Amino acid sequence: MATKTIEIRAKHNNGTTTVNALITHPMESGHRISSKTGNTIPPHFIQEVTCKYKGMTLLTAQWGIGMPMNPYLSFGFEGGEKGEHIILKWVDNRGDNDIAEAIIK
Amino acid sequence: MKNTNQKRRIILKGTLAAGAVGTAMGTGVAYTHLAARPAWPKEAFNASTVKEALLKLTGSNKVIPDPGNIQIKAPTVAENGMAHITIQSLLADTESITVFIPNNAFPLVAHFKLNQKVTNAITTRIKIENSGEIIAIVSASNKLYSTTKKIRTTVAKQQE
Repeated sequence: MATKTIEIRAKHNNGTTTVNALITHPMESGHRISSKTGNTIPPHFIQEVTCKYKGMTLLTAQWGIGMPMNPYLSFGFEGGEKGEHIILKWVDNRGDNDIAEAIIK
Repeated sequence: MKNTNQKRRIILKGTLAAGAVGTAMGTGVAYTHLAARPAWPKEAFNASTVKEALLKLTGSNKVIPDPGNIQIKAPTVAENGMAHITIQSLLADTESITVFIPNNAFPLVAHFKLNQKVTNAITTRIKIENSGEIIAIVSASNKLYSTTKKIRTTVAKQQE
């Protein structure tokens, strides 16, 4: 994807790091009908999100069409130091994907 | 000359095979060759009841209610069919957190697999099509624990 779709922030406080991520994605369920054409809008949604820290997978999220447009995700983990990197990646049902990196603050 | 042709054939075959693998990945059918990445559980997400989805997802639907150790933070009213929720598990060695909305057409919303280091809490936004319940199911030590919370919804406006 050409444009940046992931906004990710990671903040360290008192031994735990909190990761906040907002992904720009239509999350089309495949059940809506376009008011202009009367056709069903084909499904287009994120199926899997992975978050990695130092090569270790912290979280794998599998999503269905119950997730809304522009999904938001937040979680914390023990450890992490300022200046280290967090990587977040998503893959959708069309095989599109994006990857972003955040530096822990 | 024959040699180069043969090489070209091999290269062609290689590309074709890679193409086939790519297509399979696109449809979410064959992730088996990538052991590190489990397949998206299509059947579970397409299931129309919580029990069926849970059985397809985890292979079991024996759930122990444990509202003391699992907490759902959610508003009482989901405006426009959308709610910001936090699910926290106080169970030791929580392996995954799964969110179900039984009144949605497809109840399985999200499944989070957590590393041991993760603080066992997930905040996210979900769609709630009809008033009803949120069910959070936590898998810990190969057992499933659950809790529910009631939620009312105001009708979602169709976008566009």
